[in-house]
Amino acid sequence: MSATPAPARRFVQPESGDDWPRIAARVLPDLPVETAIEQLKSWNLHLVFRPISVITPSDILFVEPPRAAAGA
Amino acid sequence: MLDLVIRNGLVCDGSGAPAYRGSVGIRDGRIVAMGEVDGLARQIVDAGGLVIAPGFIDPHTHYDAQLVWDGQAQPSLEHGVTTVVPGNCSLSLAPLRAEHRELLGATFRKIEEMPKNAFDAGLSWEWESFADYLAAIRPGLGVNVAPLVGHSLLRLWVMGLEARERAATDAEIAAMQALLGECLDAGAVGMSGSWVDIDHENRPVPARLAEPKELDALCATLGEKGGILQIVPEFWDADLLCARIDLLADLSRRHGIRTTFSPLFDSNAAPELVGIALDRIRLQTAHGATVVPQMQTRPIDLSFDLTAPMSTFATLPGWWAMTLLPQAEKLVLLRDPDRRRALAAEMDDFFMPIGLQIDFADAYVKRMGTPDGALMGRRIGDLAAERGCHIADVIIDIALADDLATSFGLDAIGHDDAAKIATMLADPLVGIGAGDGGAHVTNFATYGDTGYLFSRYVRGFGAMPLETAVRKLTHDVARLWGLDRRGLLRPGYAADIVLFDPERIDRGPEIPVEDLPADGFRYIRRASGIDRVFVNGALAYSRDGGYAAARAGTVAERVAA
Repeated sequence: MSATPAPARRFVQPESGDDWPRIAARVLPDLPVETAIEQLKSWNLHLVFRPISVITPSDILFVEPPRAAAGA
Repeated sequence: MLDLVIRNGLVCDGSGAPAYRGSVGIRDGRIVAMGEVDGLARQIVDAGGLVIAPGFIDPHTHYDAQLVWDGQAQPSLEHGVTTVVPGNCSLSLAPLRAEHRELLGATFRKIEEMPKNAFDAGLSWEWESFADYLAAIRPGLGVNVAPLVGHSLLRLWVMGLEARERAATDAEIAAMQALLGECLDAGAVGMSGSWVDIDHENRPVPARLAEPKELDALCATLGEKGGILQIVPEFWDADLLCARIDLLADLSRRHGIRTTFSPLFDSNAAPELVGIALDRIRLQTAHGATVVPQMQTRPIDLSFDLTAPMSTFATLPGWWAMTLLPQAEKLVLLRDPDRRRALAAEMDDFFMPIGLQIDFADAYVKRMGTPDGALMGRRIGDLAAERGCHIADVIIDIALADDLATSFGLDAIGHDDAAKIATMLADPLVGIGAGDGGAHVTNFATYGDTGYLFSRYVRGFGAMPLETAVRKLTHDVARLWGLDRRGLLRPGYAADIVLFDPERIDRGPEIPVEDLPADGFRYIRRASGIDRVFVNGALAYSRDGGYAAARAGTVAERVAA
């Protein structure tokens, strides 16, 4: 059995000082930044609608949609 | 000669093995004989057929403050709990520099919902280091303490107020590792963290500002010393929780550490969540990781009032802000028709995002400063219908007429599908915990989760045999937290023992008491079915005599790595 199971849903953790444009440019470099930001936000509503509008380096940031939604 | 022999009991030794009729012999605070115990003893206790079990271990408490003024951790001790684990969720009370006490105190009180008056009156603050905190509480201990050190505290000590602002440098991470090592050497059993908590100023707690490499480095220290990692994840969202389980599993494998998270609870808001999480844990366990979720036995009940900010109002900013106002301003606001309309409108749009299902119409009048028989126990939605007004008006009017002393209850707002929970609790992957003793003191009384396990799930649902329930509350916890020679009835093990009636053990109803410093009020539950509790061989509580004077508790030692 391999040592590390594949994630149920792919994610990254932000780097210190990250904001949406920086994250978008890094994880979705092939998309226009505004499109990438929109995409990422739609996959990470827990960061968009949290009571405090900061992204911390310990957060989970999904880089793909929910599996169920993707297969729907 | 033995100090104590407990005879004629049903020995349930914590291993999960079948119980048997027998005795336990004790000398110098340790078990020295089991089964048929011969020889003289200074004291003989006839168990009268009751269960003789290891004392229960509560792995998730916030007794850090209470232990300063109450070393017996009442009422946990009377429920058979002989060891408590404080310092969960990134927050302990040490190591802490004097200049950060106000800040940490405000954070602790906000997250763990403790009244400021009691907190300020009860804390002597005779310490800065972790060792000095333990030295301060040790003389008064009537229970054993297996403390965690909070990651947020480590950051605050090393980085000062910048711990709230930024990631740590490599030098600061090294300093935190050294400090964590000191705390572990002084008696901590591990480190706690949080991925969700926000402080009194709505900022992430310092632990959340850590980059992955910082947490990884601290886990390396835990691995070297044999400490556990406890953490609070986004427990209400299946995808986020699975990602966190993966992170914990990686840390567990990489550093050879045991990890645990709390809470894992069931909710109709996300009925599939627990199953998904357990599947993920099962997979990671099969890949060599140790990730143990803590599940509470009780349904979630909450109380709220208008005197202080409470978690109930976390997503009601207008209500939250109102509770923070000085009394005079608050009364003006609550009598202002426009402001009341705004509060009512906010309640109409209420949403609780953490899996709890709250409908304020289902709240009821639970406690009043001046009890009104016509109101006590009445449902707010029914009163609103009778009065032809909004539920917010009912809550406010009742509170105003009672000088804001009214407490409102919300029962069974999550984790209340008992048949489903019975199956979950019996799952070998699931640990019993998340009790929160010492916290949320005016919001709910967690005490007696242990008795409730027996009454509801052993006797009621037959979800597990008596021996398994005892094992889950004792040996399973001691093994995971690495507690040296506790959690089993074995020669050489600490004589932490509870005698209980398996047909009667239970938790009592939630009752208000005013036993906090500065006459502070809290909710507690009394125990039933507990006959005697021994801590390190000394009688600590008995059904007939209540709490004993003995202070035989200690700082529980950790098994070396």
